[in-house]
Amino acid sequence: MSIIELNHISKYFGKQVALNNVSVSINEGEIFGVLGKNGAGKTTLIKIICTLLIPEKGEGSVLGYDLIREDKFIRSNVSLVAPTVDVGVDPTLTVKENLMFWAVVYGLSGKDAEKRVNETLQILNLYNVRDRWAMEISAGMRQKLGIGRAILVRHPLLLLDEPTVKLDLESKFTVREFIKEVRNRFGTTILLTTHYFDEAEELSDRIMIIDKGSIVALDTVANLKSKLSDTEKIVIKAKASKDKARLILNRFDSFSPEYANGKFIFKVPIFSFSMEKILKVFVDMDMEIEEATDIAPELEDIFFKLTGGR
Amino acid sequence: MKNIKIILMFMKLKLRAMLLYPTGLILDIVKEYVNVGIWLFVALFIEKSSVSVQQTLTNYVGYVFIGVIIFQNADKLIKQPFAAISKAFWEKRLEVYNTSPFGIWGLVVGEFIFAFIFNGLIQISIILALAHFVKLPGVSFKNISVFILFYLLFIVSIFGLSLISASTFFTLEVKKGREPVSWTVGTLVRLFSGVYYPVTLFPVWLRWIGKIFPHYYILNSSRYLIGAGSKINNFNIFIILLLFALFLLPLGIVVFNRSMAVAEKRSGMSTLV
Repeated sequence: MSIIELNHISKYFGKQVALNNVSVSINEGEIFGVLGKNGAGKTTLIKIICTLLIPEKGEGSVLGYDLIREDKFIRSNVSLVAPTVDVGVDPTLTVKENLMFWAVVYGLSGKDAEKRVNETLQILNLYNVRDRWAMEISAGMRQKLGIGRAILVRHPLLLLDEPTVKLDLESKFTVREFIKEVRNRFGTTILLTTHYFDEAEELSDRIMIIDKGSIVALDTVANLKSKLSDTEKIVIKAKASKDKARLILNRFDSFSPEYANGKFIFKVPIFSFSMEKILKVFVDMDMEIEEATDIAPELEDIFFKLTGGR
Repeated sequence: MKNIKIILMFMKLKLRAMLLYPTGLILDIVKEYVNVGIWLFVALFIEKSSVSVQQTLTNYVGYVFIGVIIFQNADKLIKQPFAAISKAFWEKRLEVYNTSPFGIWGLVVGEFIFAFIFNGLIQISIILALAHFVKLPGVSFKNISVFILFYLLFIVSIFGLSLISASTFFTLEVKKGREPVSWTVGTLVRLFSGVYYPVTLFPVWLRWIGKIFPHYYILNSSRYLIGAGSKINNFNIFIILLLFALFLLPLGIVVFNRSMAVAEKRSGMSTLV
């Protein structure tokens, strides 16, 4: 079942095109990743989905409600986490008071609110700092607090706009694990924008790459890799004299070979089954092979191939 | 009911922020006392020295006192929603409030009611203090219930004006500093609606300016109802204040809702696009 359905959505800020004819359908329970450079239109897309921005062209529905006419129903059922850690966090309240405040603003009250807030604090590992001022806790904890605000009311759709930006490695890991848990535990549909390729690959069932407001690719990571990448890497660790190494490099000149620190790297056409051919040459030359690895194309390579530059 | 709880939560948030920095709270109260005190001090000398004032008014100090108290409260209340929106915007909370269907309305209504109660309490304390210690002449509570009714109608009109003022944050992109609606209303009312002196001092053709604001009517009626002003027709004033309330409140709601729609077109609620 489709939770988000956008048809030919366009958004302009003056002469600047923020989104150009975007059509996408996102399924229930899916983690949908959106990759794009700064200014590609990721945040604009998220804001249109949660009705904080009105598109100039196009139509759509979110959770079955009309994107333009039923904005209040959409807002009542969608949670948003903004990309900056302090967004929505009130520094004059403690961690728990922040969540209590939002619980009421999102329609919970009394014992229900208290129970849900305590539960959320436990899930986020913030229970021990519940009575500390929001301004005193770390950036990672504040980001988790922002996510806590968004999951308080268990909305069926969670929009995460660069949720791990500016976080240290440990916090990034915790937040990512938490995102997976939210989906697995509550069946929440999650739309996630990110700059991090590993994050998109780790979390997303499908990925959409947007550039200058337009969709340039949309598929599962595996399909993107197989459809859009034409090369893979073969890495062979072998002991070789300078002469033998030079011979190998010349022999496979068409595979853009490199040799450094005892490792040969070849870029070969994908699905060309070149590994056997290359290894045979190594064996024929009496070279001792320590390790041979076939490295699938990286999402990063595909992204830059589609959007240009690096 | 849910929306009332949201409004109360925003009021609680405001109180919490205020109590967190008690120095600011104390200075706010002192400022109110000083503002009223300055005008009473000036009025005291004008009353004694000005023949014209002596001929026009029986008690000028009481006249100024009621004028200043009512005007200051109204002036603060008109600015409150704009200030609340501006603060939330710059502290990156405004757009997140808008993720709740009643979020921004909760903020605006909550802060307005909070300011009404907070300023009201300070002003009541000033009235009681002056009545007790100074035995302020020209202030009495002979018609307090009618005064409260008129004052509430006036506050409804002020809420309408405050919404129009707040809408400029989105429509005119007045993101910081003085916004034009409260500034224009404040300046004209101060000059022409009888805050510090009677409008009868002006030529007849100039008096209409003051009369286009509800302030003129509440000031005049209050001077009769809780002061030593000349008798007024209560029914007429009631109808006028009711008409102002019935006109300004819906107008304010429509203008403010429209301005939010404009912000949702332009991404005017956040610095992040």
